[in-house]
Amino acid sequence: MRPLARGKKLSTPAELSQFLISVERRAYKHALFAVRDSHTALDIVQDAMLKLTEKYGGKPAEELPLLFHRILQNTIRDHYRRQKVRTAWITLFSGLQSKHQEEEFDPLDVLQDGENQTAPAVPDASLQQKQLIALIEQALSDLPARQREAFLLRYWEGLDTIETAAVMGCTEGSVKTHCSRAVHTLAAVLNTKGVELP
Amino acid sequence: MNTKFDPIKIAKLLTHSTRQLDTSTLSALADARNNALKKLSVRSPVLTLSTGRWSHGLMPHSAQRWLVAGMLVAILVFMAGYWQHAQEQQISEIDVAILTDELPIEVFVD
Repeated sequence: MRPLARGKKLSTPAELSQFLISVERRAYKHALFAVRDSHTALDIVQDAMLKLTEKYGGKPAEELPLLFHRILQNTIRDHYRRQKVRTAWITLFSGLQSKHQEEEFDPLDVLQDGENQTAPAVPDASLQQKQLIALIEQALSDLPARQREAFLLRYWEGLDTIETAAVMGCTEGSVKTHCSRAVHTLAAVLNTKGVELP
Repeated sequence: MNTKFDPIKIAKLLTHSTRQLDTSTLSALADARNNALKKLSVRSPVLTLSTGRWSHGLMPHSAQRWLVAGMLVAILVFMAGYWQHAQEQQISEIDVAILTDELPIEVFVD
C-alpha cells in the first residue's frame, strides 16, 4: 500500500459515498467472476464496503481505490477459505443424507428441443453484443484466480503494475506474467469461438 | 492466434456490461453501500474502563478459585492454539491452491 503522505486531505463522507457509487458495479463483477454466484458476490461486496468504511473511512480519497481493491480481493479469498471448511463438514455428514433428492431428477426438465427454436436466425446488434459480453465473462470466470485478478486490475481498473502488485500482494514480475498469460488465454478462447472484437 | 486482441476493448465491453445490471442487483448494491456508510456515521465510542462494583464479584478471592480460573484460562489458551493451528493449515492449503491455479471445485459450490 502507498504510504500516507503528509498534508493529504482526509476523505469526507460525501467523497466516500461517491467513491463507493463509482466502484460498486465493477466490484460486484469482480466478485461474480470469482465466485460465480450473484448472492455470494453481493455479500462479498457488502463485506468489503463495510471493512473499508469501518477501518479506512477516514483515509485520503486518493488512497481509497487501492485499499478497496485490496480488501475486496482479501474478502474473496476469505470466502474461498470458508467454503473449503464448510465443504469439509458437508462431506463429513453427506454419508448420513438420503438419496431422495437424486431420485427426483427428471430428464424432461433439462431436455432441449432443437427443432423448435423461436429465436431469430440473425440476432440484432445488441443481442450480439450481449452474447459477446457473456462469452468474455465466461472466459474470465474460467481463468485461474490470479490471472483474472491481474487482468481485471491492470486493464479494467487501470492500475499500473506497481499498484496491481500492491493489491495482489506479489511482485511486479508476477503481475506481468499473470497478465500475459491471461491475455494469451483470452485471445485463444475468443479466437477458437471465431469472435472479432468490435 | 488472433493478433488483434486488445485488452482495452475487453475492458470497454466489461464496463458496458455493468450498465446492464438488473434492478434487483443495483438496489442490493445501493443497500450495501448505505449500510456501509451508516457504519461510518455511527462510529463506536472510545472504549472506557468501568470501575463499577460488579467487577469485584468476578474477581477470585481464594487460592482454590485462582486455581480453577487458571485451569480454565489454560484450557482456553490450548483450545485457541489448536484452533489457530487448524485454521492456519486450512488457509495455507487454499493459498497454495490459489497460487498453483488448482482451486478445487468445492469452493465454487454452495
